[in-house]
Amino acid sequence: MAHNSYEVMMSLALDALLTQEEEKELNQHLQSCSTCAQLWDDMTIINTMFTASAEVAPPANFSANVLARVESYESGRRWYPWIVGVLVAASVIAASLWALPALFLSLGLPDLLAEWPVIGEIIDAATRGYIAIQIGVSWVVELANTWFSYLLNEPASLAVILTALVLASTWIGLLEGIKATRNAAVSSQTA
Amino acid sequence: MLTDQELVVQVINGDQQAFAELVERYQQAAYNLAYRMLGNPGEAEDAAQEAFLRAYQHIKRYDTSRPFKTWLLSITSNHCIDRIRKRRLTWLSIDEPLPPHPALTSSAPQPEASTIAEERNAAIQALLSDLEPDYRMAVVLRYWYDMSYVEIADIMETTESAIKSRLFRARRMLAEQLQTGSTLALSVAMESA
Ligand SMILES: [Zn+2]
Repeated sequence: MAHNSYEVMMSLALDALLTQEEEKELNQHLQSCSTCAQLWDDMTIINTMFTASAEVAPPANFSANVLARVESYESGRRWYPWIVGVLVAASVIAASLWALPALFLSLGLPDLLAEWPVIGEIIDAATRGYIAIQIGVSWVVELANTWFSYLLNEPASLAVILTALVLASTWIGLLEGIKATRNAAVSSQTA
Repeated sequence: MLTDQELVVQVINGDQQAFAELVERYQQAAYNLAYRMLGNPGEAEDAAQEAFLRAYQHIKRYDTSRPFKTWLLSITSNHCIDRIRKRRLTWLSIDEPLPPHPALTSSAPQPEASTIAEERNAAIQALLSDLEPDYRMAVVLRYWYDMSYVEIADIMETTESAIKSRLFRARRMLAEQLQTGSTLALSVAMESA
């Protein structure tokens, strides 16, 4: 038998996986082959060295650190549906507001405005209200800026920022919708 | 005392305290595996923590017919092997001298005994670090976890005969290192033999 198969047997012998006959065969070869005997000696040294080595213990704060990671994962998971929900709601609101002018036109609103100028006045008032709100928003944004670095360190900050985005997109959409509707109404009045 | 399987059921039902108990039980097993594979206490801590977090995230995938420890160690094993492979892609040197492990330096009562333990450990880590990750993992699971070939094959998702050949090749390489390697490894090895 080649040296190689005795080498495999040595490894199995260290794991006590040889039959008695195999063990005998290996021992006989080791007595007659100095190359294999040397390898066996070295493998035995390694084996003794590794067998004697104990498990190393983790640092004292290990389990606290694991639980902190778990908690941060869980809190992220709690926020996630809200963040997704807010984003979806924002897109839906913004898209529907941008679509308002077309909707109003198809409903024949310009004709209605021509008949009832008061509706135009209401829209004007709403526009002025919007501008006032916009001023308010810029003030809030200013305030948010001041607290930006603090908010970034809080998981809730993302939700706050997203809410601000939703409000902003809602207002912009509303303004555009009103403007377009009014323009359409004015042009239909003058026509 | 609750079994691991009972604790897992509680974790699935949202009890983080039950997971804390599992961490207590297996932190040393996971940490030691990461340390033996990565050779660096700081990286080992991060890797073992990551393994626990992954176990938590995928707890529903745990097959209760398997021992929890085996499952956890297989997650730890995959994660460590990934890290070693990624490490090769970066410029991080693997040849940096390994710092002695703090657990070996701080808790030993006698300074002399601690030095010997440190040296022996450094020699073992030096020997291990020259092995390919797959070979290193087989050796670590065999020696520190006293696992059978079948159990090692289960964790490493391979066959028993692959483990048989990995262990044989790893041992031959380690033996050759003893002949050609550093005198430190040799002297410490002789001392412990
Ligand atoms: Zn031979």
